[in-house]
Amino acid sequence: MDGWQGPEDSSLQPGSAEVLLRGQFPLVPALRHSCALTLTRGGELHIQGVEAGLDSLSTVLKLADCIGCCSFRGGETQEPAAYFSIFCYPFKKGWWDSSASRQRVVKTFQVSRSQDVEENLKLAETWAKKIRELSLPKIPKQEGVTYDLLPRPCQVLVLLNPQSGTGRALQLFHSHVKPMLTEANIAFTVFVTERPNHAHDFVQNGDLSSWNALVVMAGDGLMFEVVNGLMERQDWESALKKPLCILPGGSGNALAASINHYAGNEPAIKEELLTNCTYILCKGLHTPMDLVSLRTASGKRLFSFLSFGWGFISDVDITSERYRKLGNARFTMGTVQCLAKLEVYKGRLSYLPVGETSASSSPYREQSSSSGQSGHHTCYRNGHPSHILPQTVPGMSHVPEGTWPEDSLLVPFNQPVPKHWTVEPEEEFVSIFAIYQSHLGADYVMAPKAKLHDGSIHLFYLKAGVSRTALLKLFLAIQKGTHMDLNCPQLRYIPVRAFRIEPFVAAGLMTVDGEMLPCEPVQGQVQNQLCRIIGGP
Amino acid sequence: MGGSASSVPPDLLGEYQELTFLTKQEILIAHKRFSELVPKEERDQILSARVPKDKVVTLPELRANPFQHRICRVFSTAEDGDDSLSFEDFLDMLSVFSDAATSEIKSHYAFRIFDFDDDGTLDRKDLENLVNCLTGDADGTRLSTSEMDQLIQNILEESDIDKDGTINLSEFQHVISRSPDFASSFKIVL
Repeated sequence: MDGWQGPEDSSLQPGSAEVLLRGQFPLVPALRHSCALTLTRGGELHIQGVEAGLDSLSTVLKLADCIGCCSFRGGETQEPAAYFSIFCYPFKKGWWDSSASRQRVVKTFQVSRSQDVEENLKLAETWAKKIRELSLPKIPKQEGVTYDLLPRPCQVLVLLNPQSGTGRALQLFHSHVKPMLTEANIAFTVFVTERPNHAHDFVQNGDLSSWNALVVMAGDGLMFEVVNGLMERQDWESALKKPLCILPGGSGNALAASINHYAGNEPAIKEELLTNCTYILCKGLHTPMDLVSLRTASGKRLFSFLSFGWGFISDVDITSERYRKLGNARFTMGTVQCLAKLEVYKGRLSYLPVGETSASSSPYREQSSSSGQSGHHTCYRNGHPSHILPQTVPGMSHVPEGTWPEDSLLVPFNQPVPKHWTVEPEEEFVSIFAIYQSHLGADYVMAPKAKLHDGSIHLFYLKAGVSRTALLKLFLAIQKGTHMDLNCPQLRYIPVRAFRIEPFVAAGLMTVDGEMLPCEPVQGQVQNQLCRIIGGP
Repeated sequence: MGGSASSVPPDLLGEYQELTFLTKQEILIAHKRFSELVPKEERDQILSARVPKDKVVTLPELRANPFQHRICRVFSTAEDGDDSLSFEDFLDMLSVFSDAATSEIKSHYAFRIFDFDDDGTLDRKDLENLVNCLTGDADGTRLSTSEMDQLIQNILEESDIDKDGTINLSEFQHVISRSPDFASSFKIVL
């Protein structure tokens, strides 16, 4: 009756009520109360108070919500009892809450059938192990997409910006993240950044072999540093196989909000968003993510995971101190002023719509006379485009550009875009915005249908002539994701695989993943599934 | 036309350069543009003339500015409150909106401009007036009540640090300092 193992019949469907383990254990700390536990193949732990009138103890824990279960000895050396604890984070909603959020539920049971502590421990571990197995997320099966789980045990590197989220990131890590990682048996090392580019330099040059995943706890700007730092490694290809993970370090974060959205959760902000994202990390499912390879006329090449924009971006909070509240797009007093001015920017926009099948015929390379590196050389050398700022970025020679993925859809700036691209006839814009995730900020659902690996850049542009009122209404609608329903005649949306923006004058802010760039011609294309990220599907 | 307007005497010119962010060149241009707003009869007495608000807002640089009336109100030293600008008022205004003015000065004056009831804080009513200036007053262009509420909620959540329902000068300046576009858009160059 106590602790026997039910028959394991693998021919039964998962989700079934087949009993795998059954037992009766006292619940800690109310050890007088015994609970009957039933563990089913369908991933449920039924807990029933044994004595009459103990219905308050009865509950069912769904192991889909469980992040860990461990067995351990008692504290006293003489004590023969062993224990196992199960850690769950189901969604719960109090009547005062507007939406459900994950709340911690911990149950600890005592195993003391035997006088021998080793026997008790063995039984406790049998339960813990089975519970852990049943808690593993199901790996989705999707054509062309490889999902995977973090190994257990597992070590992660947490790159944390202490300034993030008005300085609370480190405190939030200790209060919200660390306990969950411990419960999920994920070991971690915290790397606290001390300056801009600190993380970039570390991931570019450091030995990352001892970590199974790289976790960024900060704003999108730090993730940008990490992605680009990894790309600059000689072994970038294998380095990028290591899953990345975002934990929102402060009040807002576009990638975190998007990951939360893809997981099917209701929108969340602040600590709730942090708990949701930490939970997603603890479950360990990771998936490929598209990156966008961006090139500038001055010869820079960058990898972007979130967005590119030019012009009035309704205050996607861009600051020179890049991590403060990054991605928390809000209407602020600064926006009021920009709206009062409402600049119009002149330039040419061209793009390759999704669905156009043929790629450009020739690979992206300069027609330069530099000594014959046939094959894979793709960077700018002695660039001769006329209207463009000079020259190779110094120090590029050590960068493994030659092995970087080809931008097969792009041609150099001094050539017109390929024939099957569309050139937008309108040349006056208030704003052009390309986004590849669903959210632009915790409150901004720009592209609700976007996915981590949909091979698309969601291109939005706002032509000149839009009134301030229309712009305000658009802004408000973006917060609900209903901006396309407004049918604003100046707003256009088209999913593309590549684009080129050529400002006629260097005016207006340009940003990549929230980082400011000097204003100059820029083009980019999707690089499918270039890296991996914790989350999904 | 004959008879150019009187120019700025050199000692005053020097003083204006000291007291404002404007360069000598900018002051002279301002003088010229101001004199065009002044009726012919008063052109020898420019330095003591006052230009009514209605004429000031005809300047192309102000015509499209939704806060043109508040700008005149803030910079006007007219004792009878008619919002007219003297030449020195005009220079003060251009100085704040000039390239050389610091962000702190600009944000200080932006605050005053947005403070419609001149009571030293930006409360709900001020913010409503602000938004209405941006959208215009015509029936088709105003926001609905719920849209207005949502917008004001946004602004307060972002800027009202002590959560007292109003935005004071230092909260305002703090928020503005995070907008790199602010200084460049808060500019009037003749």
